[in-house]
Amino acid sequence: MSIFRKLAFWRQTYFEADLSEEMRFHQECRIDELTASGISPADAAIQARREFGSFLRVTERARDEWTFRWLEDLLTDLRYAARALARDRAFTLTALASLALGIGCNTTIFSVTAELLFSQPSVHSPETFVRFMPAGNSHIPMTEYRYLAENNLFPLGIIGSREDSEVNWRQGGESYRLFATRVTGNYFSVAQVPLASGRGIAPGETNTAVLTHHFWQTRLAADPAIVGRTLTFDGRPFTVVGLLPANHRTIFGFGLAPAVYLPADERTMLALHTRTLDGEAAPGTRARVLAALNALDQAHPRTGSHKWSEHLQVRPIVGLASMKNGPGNAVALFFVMLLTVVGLLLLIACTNVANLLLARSSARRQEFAIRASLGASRGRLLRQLLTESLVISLLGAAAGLALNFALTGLLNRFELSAPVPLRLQIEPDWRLLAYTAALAVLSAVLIGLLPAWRATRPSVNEDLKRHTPFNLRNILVVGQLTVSIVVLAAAFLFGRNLVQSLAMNPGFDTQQTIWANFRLVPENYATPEKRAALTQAALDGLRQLPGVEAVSMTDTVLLNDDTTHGGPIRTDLSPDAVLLQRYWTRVGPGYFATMGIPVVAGREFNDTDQNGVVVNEALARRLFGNVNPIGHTFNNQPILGVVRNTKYFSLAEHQRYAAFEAHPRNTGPIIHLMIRSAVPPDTLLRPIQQALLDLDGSAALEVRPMSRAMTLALLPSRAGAAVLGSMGFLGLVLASIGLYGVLTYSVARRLREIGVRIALGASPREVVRLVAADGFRLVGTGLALGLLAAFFVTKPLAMFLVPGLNPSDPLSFVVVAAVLGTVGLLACFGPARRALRVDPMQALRQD
Amino acid sequence: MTQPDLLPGTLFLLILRVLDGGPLHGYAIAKRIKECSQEFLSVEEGSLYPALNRMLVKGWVTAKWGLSETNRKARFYELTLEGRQQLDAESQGFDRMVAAIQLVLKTA
Repeated sequence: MSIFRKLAFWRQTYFEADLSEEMRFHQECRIDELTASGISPADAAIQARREFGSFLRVTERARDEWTFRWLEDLLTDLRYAARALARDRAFTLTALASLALGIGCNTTIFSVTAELLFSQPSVHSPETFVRFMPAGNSHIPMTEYRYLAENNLFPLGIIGSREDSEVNWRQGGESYRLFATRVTGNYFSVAQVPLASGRGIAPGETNTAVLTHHFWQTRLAADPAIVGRTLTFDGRPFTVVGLLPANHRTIFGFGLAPAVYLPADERTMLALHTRTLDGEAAPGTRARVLAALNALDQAHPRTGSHKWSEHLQVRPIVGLASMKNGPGNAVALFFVMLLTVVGLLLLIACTNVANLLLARSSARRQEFAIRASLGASRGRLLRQLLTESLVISLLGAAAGLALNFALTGLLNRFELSAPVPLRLQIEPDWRLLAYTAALAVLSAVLIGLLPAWRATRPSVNEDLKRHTPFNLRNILVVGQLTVSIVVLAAAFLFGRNLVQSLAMNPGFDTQQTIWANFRLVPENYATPEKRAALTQAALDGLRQLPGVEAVSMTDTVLLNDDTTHGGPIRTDLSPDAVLLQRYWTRVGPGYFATMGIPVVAGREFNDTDQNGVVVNEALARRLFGNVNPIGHTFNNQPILGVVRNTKYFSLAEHQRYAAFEAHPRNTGPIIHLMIRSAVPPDTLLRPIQQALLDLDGSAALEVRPMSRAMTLALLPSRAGAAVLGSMGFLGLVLASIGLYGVLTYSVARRLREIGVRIALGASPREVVRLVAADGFRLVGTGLALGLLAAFFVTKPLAMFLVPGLNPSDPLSFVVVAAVLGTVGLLACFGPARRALRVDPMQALRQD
Repeated sequence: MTQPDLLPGTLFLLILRVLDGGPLHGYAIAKRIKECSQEFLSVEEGSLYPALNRMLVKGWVTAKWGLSETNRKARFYELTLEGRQQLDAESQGFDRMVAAIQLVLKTA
């Protein structure tokens, strides 16, 4: 501001010196002329002076042409607003706190949304990349990838990567399980991934690694000479060739944060990405990919399943289109919902401030009257009031931005480690600033326009005398209550959802089961016999431990991994094959007993089973109807048993089909051991760890109770409950402040009336009733409208809730109504007490 | 001293036209307008200087300090290219306006 003033001052003095000299010259010329026509110099001076008129007026009018009138006015308004706000500290702080919370929450949700859904992967021109899924499969084998890559089917290259593979890292006598993204040799050159130092993995390399910044910093103490050194992964030496920058984001998005990039090997299943041609539209890309897959079908025909060219899915990796039909869809909808809720919250906050401003502007009526009578136009007054609200909202936005930095800083530090590592890297950027500025302007209009319009209306006194229930403040409060009921109903629904999810029986026992993840160094177990021997030793060793009731194994851990199989199913009952998407995994003997899943017919696998299938009830019913499936066949294998349905990957899923096969015990380097404990699981963790490390000290090992391994399954419920719970609470607090303010104000306005009533003998009870009646009317109207709105608004939330929780459940509404009613009552309490303390003598003497 | 008011908006046009002949200072501009109109039009000082300042803001003229014919320091105004274009536009508009008014006066 001072710079503006200095500039204006300098300009003004300069300009005024010029002008006065010019006017002096003008007069001198006139005097000369008059003298020349014979008038005495003295008279000539007087006449010239008279003709010219007021110097001051000319100066002022000339200055008006120069100065930025609006800028001067704005500066005056700003100064005035700052003074007015500094004077009324209680008002300013309340308004600022409301707006800071509203804007802070909004921008934080915005930041998270932008980071999770709209951040750019660290590849060159990500908008030209598409991911495609042949036959609807997310990943395909290396052989097929090689055919696609080596036959010149993709002119701009095709890259393969496996985002979530595991690796055993041996360091200083200890083994750690790490998440690695495995990539084909051309990955770094085709994607042009920016590196902090070194180079990417090159084609043909099998023992090089590129490290992520976080891993290098937290696990390798940010060793400055890391490039060129050797790390031991899966028992083999790998040379570190490159280091990624701190802001690296994978091509898969969603904050996926692997520790290292390693070369893919023959067994790696690969997700496929390719670049679109210059100016090529989506149908063109699809046709090109389809042609390539048709060639693949010719060269590598697929038996017993969809052809590669069938069910093809192609989608970009950035932008809105990337979220269609993908996992991003549900996440995107969830964030749309969150943005709506925080938007409502900001609305409540703005209503609050608008109401405070309304009360304040009625109190400042005298001031406006004086200014109006001194010649201020209505527009001028309006502009001044709007400047005040703009100052409030800008300060509120600044505070909100500070809140955003604090909250996103916390979120950045939070890391989800299981089953895949996810980490957010939210950095303030121009999008955040633009969004905050837009919110500030929007709030300024929301909070300022109505009160300012109202305050500057010519005959303010007229409607203040009337006492109607339909005044603006009451309407605002009712609106606020309505919106907060909607938010509260949503919050309560998510709270119940969390409780329900925590208590939900996923169909297996989570309380007495332990999961041991045993990851071997593959080189040490080159033959299937060696692996089978170790697995058997592990099973036997654990069974010996006191407190262990049962031990088994599986390929896929419930609610942590997912395997979907879509191949055809043939039974002996029908000649036709059925194509069904089903959960499919291999489990060891005694698996169902260990997990506490009841066997409803037949039996489960025993130690000698080499083949045979166990199906769940849903699949049994689908394939066999009411016929007992035991003894029938499933793809030429005998059906041994039928087990209860459980949740397999998410708590929200509904009765998936599932088929289990016998575990061969000699599969890959990862062994998932499931242990059933007869004692509290925590006491068994150390002994299990010890027993397994005694078998192989070079293995990476993680042992935890199943109850703590449900992070991912509970994440949506937890996040929803945490975010919406806090929003609901905030909304409630803001709405009750609003209600309190309005009632206090109405008591202040009716002080005289209350005084008269007390003087005429009204009992305290009648006085309280008088005040409370106002409050109840407002709360009642707000409740009725809010419940009605909530009933419709919460309906679409069903998609985020566990099955069985109905958004229209009356219980939610009863509780919400009760909570808001109670808060409303408490908000009436203060004003009612104030009314009781009214001294009739004083009240009557007022104005 | 009763003088007819200038038609609204014509002051700029007159100043522009007068300056078309070359740079002049404020007093000379007023004098020239008076002379050219055979003493019929007189520009008030109270309007002249605000108008000149407005034209400076708009960039139609520039001002420079120089010496007057009586060897005194005076501020000379000079047309810019923009000012010249403005003059063309305004005088054409004025001609059309006058013609139209005369048409109405003659025929109605």
